Order: sequence, then structure tokens, then C-alpha cells
Amino acid sequence: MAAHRYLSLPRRLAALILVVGLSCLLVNVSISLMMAWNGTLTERPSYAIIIPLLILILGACAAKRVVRNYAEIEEQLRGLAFLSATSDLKLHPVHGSDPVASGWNYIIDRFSGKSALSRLEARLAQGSRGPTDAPLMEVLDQLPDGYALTDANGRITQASRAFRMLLNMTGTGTGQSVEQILHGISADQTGALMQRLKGSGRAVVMEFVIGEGETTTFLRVARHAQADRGYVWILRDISQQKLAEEMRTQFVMTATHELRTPLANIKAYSESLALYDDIDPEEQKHFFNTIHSEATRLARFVDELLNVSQMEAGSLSLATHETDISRLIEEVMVNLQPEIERKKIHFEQRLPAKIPRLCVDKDKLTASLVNLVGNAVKYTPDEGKVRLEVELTPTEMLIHVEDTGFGIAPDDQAKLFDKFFRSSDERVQAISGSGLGLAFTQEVARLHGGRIAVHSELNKGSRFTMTLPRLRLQAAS
Amino acid sequence: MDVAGKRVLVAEDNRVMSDVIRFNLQRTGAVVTVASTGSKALEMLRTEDFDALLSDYQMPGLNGEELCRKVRHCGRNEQIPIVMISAKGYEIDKPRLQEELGLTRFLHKPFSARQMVDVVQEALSSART
Repeated sequence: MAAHRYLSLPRRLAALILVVGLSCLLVNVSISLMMAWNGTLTERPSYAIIIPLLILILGACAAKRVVRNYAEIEEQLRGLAFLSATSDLKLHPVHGSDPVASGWNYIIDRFSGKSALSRLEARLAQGSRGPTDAPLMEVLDQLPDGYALTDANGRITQASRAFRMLLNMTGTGTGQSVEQILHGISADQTGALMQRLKGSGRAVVMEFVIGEGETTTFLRVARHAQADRGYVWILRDISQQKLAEEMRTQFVMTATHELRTPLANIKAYSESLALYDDIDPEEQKHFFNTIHSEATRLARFVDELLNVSQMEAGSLSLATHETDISRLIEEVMVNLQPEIERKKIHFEQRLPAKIPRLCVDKDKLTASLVNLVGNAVKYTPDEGKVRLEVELTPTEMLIHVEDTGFGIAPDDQAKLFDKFFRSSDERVQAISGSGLGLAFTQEVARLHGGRIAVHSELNKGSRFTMTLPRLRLQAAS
Repeated sequence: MDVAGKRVLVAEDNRVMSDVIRFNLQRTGAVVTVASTGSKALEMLRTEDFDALLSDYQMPGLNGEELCRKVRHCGRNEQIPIVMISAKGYEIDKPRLQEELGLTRFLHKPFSARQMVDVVQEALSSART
């Protein structure tokens, strides 16, 4: 369509000139004939015919030149527009001084240096080729998603760097079949994939899992059919997305349980108090105390959630004041005394004669130590031992919390400080916990410029050590 | 119905919860025994007769589901009506469990004390028919 319109332009121009010339001729001949018939045409009748004829001939010559130039330019432009990888296009100037011809000649002149022209030609030729060329692959190599092109037989013709890395391929992969590579990784999943590929239309997308445990990679595999030359395969690593989804599910499960359990108790106890007027006063008091402690537990969980959401937003900050650390530890112990007594834990405390005052966030550090000592009590069987020790070095203050509890498996130790992590150990699962305490405690230690470490042996016990830079925290005050 | 004198076994590891269940069931005249783990509950069911079992789903060691499966083949109390209590959400398939384990009811935490008593009474009356 477009090509046809381009070609018709000079013809229209030529037709216009001819029509104008012929009209002139027709008018002159008519006037001459009319004058001859009236008898007014007496002398030099040939002028009336010769002058319009001259105009017509000159016009036709000019039109021919312009039309030839336009046709030449058009041919070259068409060559550029429909340039193919194989065509050998040469651009050249045209004769003439009309605006279009001089404009064209100016462009040719600009690129007249042989190298410049050949560069243009090379660039135009490159742009017109398919996506299998080197420059495009260079770009694809920089992308985190993996791309590969396969021919109609499913053999790889090109594979980007990420594609090869995601499938652990060595070499360029050229000539290999993507299906076979996937089959080598997991025959089961490839079977399902092949089923989908067979019955597919143009595009197929499915998930593919590589490896297991810690090193699991979740891939989204997409295959798009090309009109006539095989397929484009696109791989995307969606492991992070999967991890986030898993964590969210875990969170909802933990939060549901952590909210429901104290709520259930509050509801049942308060309802019992309302139902019966004749409850023994001692028992009534016990009911009220239970409601109070369950409400406290609920409030603590909500606080933990808020802390963690602040941690995630990066806005958990300290409000530091000069603090008496001995008093702070006393407060921690007041908090935990009821539980220690209930479980008949043998608690031992070893503190230096004098602990320096430090500039810390009292509330957050208290909560952190309640977490550490509280965990020791919680995960130690009845009548076990828990020890709290403060050790001072010239520059640091070390707070050790040691227990004779369940201990933590080496695999679990690595994930212990992750948000919402809870050991799959049955003994731990049977005890309620949010999986947020240690994540918060570690963050509080870090914000104070300190750190936290754990040494633990399964079925023997654990020892957590929080280290605070006391010189710096003293200087701060 | 009159539940006075009926023997109800409560398998619940959370002491705070088992106390309030015991309190409410005793008010109806039922004879309540509490087992703090699934294994202890199973042991009791093998040695004594009970009229109904109220079991928590999440317990250390033998959990509520495993306990119920074992009860159905333990040689004693095999037909006992069971009420399961759970604080779990969608992660357990409750209709399937109810069907498979022959549970009278699933009671969701937090539940009302009166509702709990009603459900236990329903379980006790279902045993009679």
C-alpha cells in the first residue's frame, strides 16, 4: 500500500504538468479557431499554436527531469525501508536543483565520506536483522532473567548468561534441547511440562523447582512460540517471591495461634465468672489473675509484632538514657520469677560486685533480656537449671544466659534469629511462641553496637551471650 | 440432657485451658479427668471407661489427631464420642478429619464456655443413641 502511494507521486506531478500544458494548448487553439471563424484572425495565426506548443514541450522536459529524480530518490528510499540483511544497497546523489533533489543531495553529501556512508549502511543493515545477533544477546546477558532461542526442533541456537547459570549449564548450550536439560534436572517435573507443551498454543508458563532444602531454586519457565522459527524460552528465578509467600503463611499461622490461645482463655474465664454467682472467692481471684496474665501475654505479642514491623521498616530506634544495669536485671527477674517458681527451675545469678551504668534503651534491653532468660526457662524441662551471668572485660559487657534445656540442632542455630522461625523439634512445637523474640533481641543488641551469639548442644542445653560495647556506651553517657 | 455422673476425659496440655474446661464441666455434674498429654490420655482410655473425650489438636508428643486414630483401635472406648478443640486455622482439613476420625464436633478456639458444655452434652447424648 505505502509503496504504491510513493510511486504514484511523480506520476501525479507529471500528469499535472501535462494537463496544464494541454489545457493551455486547447484554450489557444479554441481562441484561434474562434477568431478565424469571426474573421478577426488576420495575421500571424501560427503564434497562437506555436507558443502553447513551446510551453508544452518545455513543461514536459522539466516534468521528465523532476519525475526521473523523484523516482530515483524514491527507489533509494524504498531500498532503505525494505533493507534486508543480504541486499547490497548503494546510495547516490541525483541531478537537478529542485528542493527535493537538493535536499537528497545534501543528505548524501553529509554521509559522502565513504566510511560514514558505509557505517550508516552497516547500522541500518544490523538493525534490520533478527534478534539472534550479538548486540541483542549482549543486552540479554546483562538481565537477571534467562533467555534462549530454539529452532523448530527445540535445539538451542542462543542462550543468555542467566539462562545458562539458572540451569547450571556449561558452555554455550548451542545445539542442546531445553527439554532434555530440564529432564536432566528433574524428570518428574519435566514430564508435566512436556504434557503442557504438547497441548499448548503459543505460550506456556509453569513453575520448576531445582534442588532441595536450603539451595532450592524456584524457576518460572515460559516458552513462547515464534511465528516460523522455533521458540523463545524465558526463565525467571522466583525463589525470593516464594520465600516471602512462605514467610507470610508461616506468620499468619503463628499469629493466629498466638492470638487465639490467650483469647480463648480470656473468653472462657470471663464467661465462667459471668455465668456463676456462687464461685468461691479464692477461685474467683484465681480466674481474674488468669485473665490478667493472658491479657498481658496478648499485649506482649502485639508489642512484638509492632517491634518487628518497625524492624522491617528500618525505623526501630533506641531511646537511650543512663541506666543502672543491676536494677535492669532485677526487673527482668521480677518478670520471670513466677514462671521460674512454677517450673521449679534452679536459677542461679552471677553478677560482678559493681556493674557500670550504661547509656542504653532501658525498655528494649529489658525486653531483650526477658526474651533470653524467658526462653531459657521456657525450653528447659521442669527442675532444670538456668544461669544468668554478667562478665566485664575492659571494653565490653557480656551477658550469658545458660540453660540445661532441649538444646538447638546445628541446622536450626543458623536460622534461630530469623523472624518467625521456630524449631520443628516436637518439644519446642508443643510450647507456644511467636518466633519473634530472638529476631528482636538480636536487633536490639545490634542497635546498641553489640552482638549476640549462641552455643548449643542438642539435649544438653544452650548458652546465649549478648555482648555490649561498654566503653562506648559509658562514653555516650 | 442430664450429664451428671458421666465420665469425661479432657486431653489438653495447656493447664490454664484445662482448668477452665474442668470447672465448667464439673458444674454440670460430669466427672472430669484431665490428661496433660496425648500419650497419658491414650493410656487412661486403655485402662478405664469414659463416656466422652474432649481433646486438644495441638499437643506435645501424640497430638489430637494421632490420639483419636489410636483410640478407634485401642480395644476399649473405641466408639467413644470425641470433641476436638483447635486453635489452628485453614492448615488442617477439618471436615476430612471429622469424617475420618468420627468426631462429633470440631470446637474452635476461642470458644464460649457455654458452647463447650453444650457440645460435650451433645456428644454424650449421641453415644446413647
